Amino acid sequence: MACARFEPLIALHVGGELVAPEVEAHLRTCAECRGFAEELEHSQAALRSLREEEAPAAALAEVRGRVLDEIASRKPSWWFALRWHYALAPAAAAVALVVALSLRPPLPPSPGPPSLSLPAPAIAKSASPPSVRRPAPKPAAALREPLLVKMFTDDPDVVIYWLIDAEGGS
Amino acid sequence: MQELALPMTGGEGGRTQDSELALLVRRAKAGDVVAFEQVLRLHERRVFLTALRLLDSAEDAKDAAQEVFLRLHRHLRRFDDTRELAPWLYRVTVNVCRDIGARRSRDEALPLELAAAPPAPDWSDERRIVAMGLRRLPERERAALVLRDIEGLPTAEVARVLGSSEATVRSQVSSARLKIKRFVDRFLRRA
Repeated sequence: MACARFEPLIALHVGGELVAPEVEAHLRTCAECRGFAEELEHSQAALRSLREEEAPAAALAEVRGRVLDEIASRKPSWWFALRWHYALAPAAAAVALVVALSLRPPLPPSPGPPSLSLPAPAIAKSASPPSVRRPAPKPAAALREPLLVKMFTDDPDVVIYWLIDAEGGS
Repeated sequence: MQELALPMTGGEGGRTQDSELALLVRRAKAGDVVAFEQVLRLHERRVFLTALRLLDSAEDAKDAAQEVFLRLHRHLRRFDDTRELAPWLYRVTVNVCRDIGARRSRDEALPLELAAAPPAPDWSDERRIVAMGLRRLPERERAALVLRDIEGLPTAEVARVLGSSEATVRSQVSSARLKIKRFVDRFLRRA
């Protein structure tokens, strides 16, 4: 059929994608192609009417629920991580405390408070032979200086500080 | 349920909706789950129905819509909120449907609307017949026709969504329209 070559062009013409004087002129003179174009417009209208179709509410609700559940199951990763850090913090602090106490040099026995007992090694030193040299005791201030334990977590914004005083308390 | 204006709708109302949507997207990007749910509600109908028309199966369409919105949630932090969301969603919907279509053998379930009643030759049934014709189109022609004629996207936007040229889209749309018309003609003659 001689008009067959116009069919793809008419299909675009009815959708507004093609404005071609040649096609318009042909439609004015060819009744068969005008009928063809009208039928195409009819099926086009039926296609466009599908745009108004409603989606089943139950299906949408199901999808929404699945999506939000999935997101909720993923979301609190940082929160749970933080909770785990807090849960582990006392155990980590206890380990740090034991290590800190085991590395501390032993204090000389004294009936009085630690600050009063410190001069004792100096008196003992003068009474003992010069060949025996004991390591100089640390100053009282250094012994009483609290130990700072810094614990890093997976979250760079969360760092746990643990202060341990000379008596091992915190 | 609130319905999102189509991307190409102009006018004051469309701009207001767009700015409200942009605000919701920004809030969702900041981790506001309530805002994300509102974004989801605004787009769920379009995404689901597009997937349904591309996949012919309500179950597959639900899976596709779920995957689209999960991808949106994952992608949201990197989403440029100066851009419109709808074209991105259409593109992801088409890609997800292609993946699902390739992965699953197509079941014979009718689209929900077609399953409701057998076709009969009057106007409302012509709509059903057209929908049946749509199912028989090749995948790429169907995607082009769904986006252009049912979703109403401009040809240039369809080309961007499908990752092809405007000339290719015009050719696919023209061919698909002719096939639909022939299918309707044959169906009505048989009836």
